[in-house]
Amino acid sequence: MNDCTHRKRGGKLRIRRRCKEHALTSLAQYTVGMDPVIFSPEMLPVLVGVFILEALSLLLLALNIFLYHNQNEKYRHLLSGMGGQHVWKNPGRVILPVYIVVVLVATIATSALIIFQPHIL
Amino acid sequence: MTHGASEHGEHIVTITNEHWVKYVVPVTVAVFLFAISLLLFALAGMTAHHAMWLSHTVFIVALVLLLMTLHWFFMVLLSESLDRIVITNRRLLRVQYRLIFHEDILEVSFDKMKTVDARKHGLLQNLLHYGTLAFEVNKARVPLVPHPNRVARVIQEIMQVA
Repeated sequence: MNDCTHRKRGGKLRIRRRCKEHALTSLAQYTVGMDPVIFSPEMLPVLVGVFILEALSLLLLALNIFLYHNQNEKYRHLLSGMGGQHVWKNPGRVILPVYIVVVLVATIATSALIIFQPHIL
Repeated sequence: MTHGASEHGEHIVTITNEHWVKYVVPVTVAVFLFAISLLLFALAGMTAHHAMWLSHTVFIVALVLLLMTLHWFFMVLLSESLDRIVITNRRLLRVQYRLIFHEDILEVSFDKMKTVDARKHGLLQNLLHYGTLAFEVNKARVPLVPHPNRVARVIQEIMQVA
């Protein structure tokens, strides 16, 4: 008897649990082309964990941008007090955009990796 | 502290960055950690069909390592890029700032400090032309100064005028 055999108990037709999962994942496989592994029940806590980590990462990015701008303004103010406001070149004009882009790309890439799991398709 | 200082006759003589050698260690560590996290992602992919729990655990560990490395590396880069050595006609200021962690301003007044030495110790410092400025033998030290002899000469000229 395979996992998806219908069994009659007490006059009622019962479908075994694994059979339900098989039906669900098969449906997903045939409808959206995803692997059954993606729809395993263990995926939910992993997805939640990944999204929490990425939300924290984006919050840290925002905090760093805020702190950096604050400090940059402080330096500009310090130098302007000594008459040297024109010599201050913002050193983060290249690093900061790169930082933002890299964090966003990492967030999107890892989210796509955990949602679509291209390596098992 | 320095706000309005130009009104009292203070002006900037030169501003210099710290030597780029300070980036070598963070870049090396970051490359190493990025490589480990990529290997962990690959391992998570390879084990997905055979051991799902292992794949999920490794994926989370790889993600944590990647994000931590990414933020640490760029925080170090941004912080280090803000470090400056400012020399005015009255003092030397070394501003060091680390995002979130600390802010440190070293001030050496030329009224109190009358001598400055430039020191380059070892092969690396002599090859890459960086060293330490030491005021009044060792009362105040400013490391990672590019071309310290040149900077020391500028400071000595300012001290003589002052």
